[in-house]
Amino acid sequence: MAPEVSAKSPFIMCGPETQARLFASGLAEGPFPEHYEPAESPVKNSLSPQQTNPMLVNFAGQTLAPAGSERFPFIGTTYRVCEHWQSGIMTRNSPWLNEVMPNMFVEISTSLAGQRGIKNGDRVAVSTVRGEIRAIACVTERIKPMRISGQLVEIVGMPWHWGYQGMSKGDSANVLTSSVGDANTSIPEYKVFLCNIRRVV
Amino acid sequence: MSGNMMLVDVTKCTACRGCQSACKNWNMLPGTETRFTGNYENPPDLGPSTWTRVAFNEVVEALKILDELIAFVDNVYIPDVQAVAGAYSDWLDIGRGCKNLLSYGLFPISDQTDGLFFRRGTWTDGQAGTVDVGKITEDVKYSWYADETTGKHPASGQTFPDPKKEGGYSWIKAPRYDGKPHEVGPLARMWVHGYGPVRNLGEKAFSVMGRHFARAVECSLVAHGLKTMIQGLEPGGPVWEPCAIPESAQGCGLTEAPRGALGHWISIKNYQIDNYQCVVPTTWNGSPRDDKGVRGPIEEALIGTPVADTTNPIELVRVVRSFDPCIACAVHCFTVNGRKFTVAV
Repeated sequence: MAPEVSAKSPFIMCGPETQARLFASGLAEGPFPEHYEPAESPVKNSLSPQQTNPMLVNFAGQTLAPAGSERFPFIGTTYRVCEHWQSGIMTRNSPWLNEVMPNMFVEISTSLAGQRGIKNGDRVAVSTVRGEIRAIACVTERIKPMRISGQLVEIVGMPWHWGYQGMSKGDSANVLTSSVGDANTSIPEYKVFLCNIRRVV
Repeated sequence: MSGNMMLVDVTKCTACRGCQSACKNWNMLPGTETRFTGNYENPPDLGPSTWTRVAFNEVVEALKILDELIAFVDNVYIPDVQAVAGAYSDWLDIGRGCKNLLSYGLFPISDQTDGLFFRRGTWTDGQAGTVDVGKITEDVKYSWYADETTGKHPASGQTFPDPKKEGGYSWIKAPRYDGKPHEVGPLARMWVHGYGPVRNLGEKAFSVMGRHFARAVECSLVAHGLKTMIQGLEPGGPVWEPCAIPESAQGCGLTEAPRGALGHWISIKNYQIDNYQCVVPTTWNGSPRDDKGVRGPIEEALIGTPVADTTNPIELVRVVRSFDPCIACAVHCFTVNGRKFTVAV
């Protein structure tokens, strides 16, 4: 297939035919898509009696919070900020970048802040079944709770760039995330976990 | 002292603050020690070593989108319509129509006149009036519906198709208010509301350009009004009021769709819908002749329209489009000798 044709096809990495496939070869999962909840989820799987992917790779045999955990009722997620790169080993040693993004922080909705008595800029502790970190709270309208299976579930979002070494030090989000890999590529599930948050002085 | 200045196109700003770091880089200014205090804004102020700074104000996304929308309506849409109206002012005298207007009123807001953002009312034979829903009837003499269903009020309306009826020429019924055809839509809303810039056009408001002008200024009024309405929204709050279905009841709902007055009539018997009739905006505007032979608003507006090229009567299409009709994307045009051709709108 000529490049100007194949480039417009929907699945350009699917070999020469560049089209979607019903059956994929070499994957650890079954031929048809199935919905599994993440390794840690605030709800039971509504579509299948199998809660999580049975082929998950739990590298370190880590403990996971049960579905609908009362100790860890919020969804935690990690992301980047544009001022820092990955673990920040280069960017957190640049004074100009540290100046604009100086500290580890977590973002929560105004409703979660109200529930937990957290004000913008307060010190908070975020915990999971694996560990606890300290950060600064950013209370924002940009984070909204989600309605899942009829219940309102709050979200705690955080960047992952900080660590114990460098010009700008801070707690690492890796303390909170689980080391559970997906069935096919073992990419860890850093984007979702169950957590709790409280204000600290 | 000489330093480097930066030209920043703020319309492309995504608040990445690359300009802050670049300013420090080019001018070799030191990074200062800062602290995250609850939002992305840092350093906290301009100073000897900070010459560029992006201030952060968090606003609800909807308001931001609305601001972009208002800017487009006020800076592009309305000036465009004004420019076109200036260049083609003859269209302020084409497409008069029936000059009767009907608006059910729009957006309940308690602190506005009549509790509505746009007033409810009629304009019949040059006189303002209040809406009496009992005066609405639908004729079907020229519509493909059974003759015995003519002249009924929508609450007792019937819809029995008769596609082979002699003299019928439309699937649209002919709704009449007080026995007369009435135009609905932005022009009707703005005129009935008493909006100055539209009323000041006088007779010329009843025209192809008048309708476009009314649609544009209404768009701006609504966009600005939405600002207050959005701030009154409670995210996650209920969007409808639950109600128990009665064993038997009759009722109607009146509102304004963008195209004009919209009414639904329902009767319930034994917990089930017994009759449901809608009289929609294009039924009013696109109505065929009524039992007395009086033309509908679009039909009336077409009378006397000058056509430069009878094989391509684009002028007629302009008149029809000024009503923003919702019909199956085609208007049928007939020449006097009966030859028929269709122009897509």
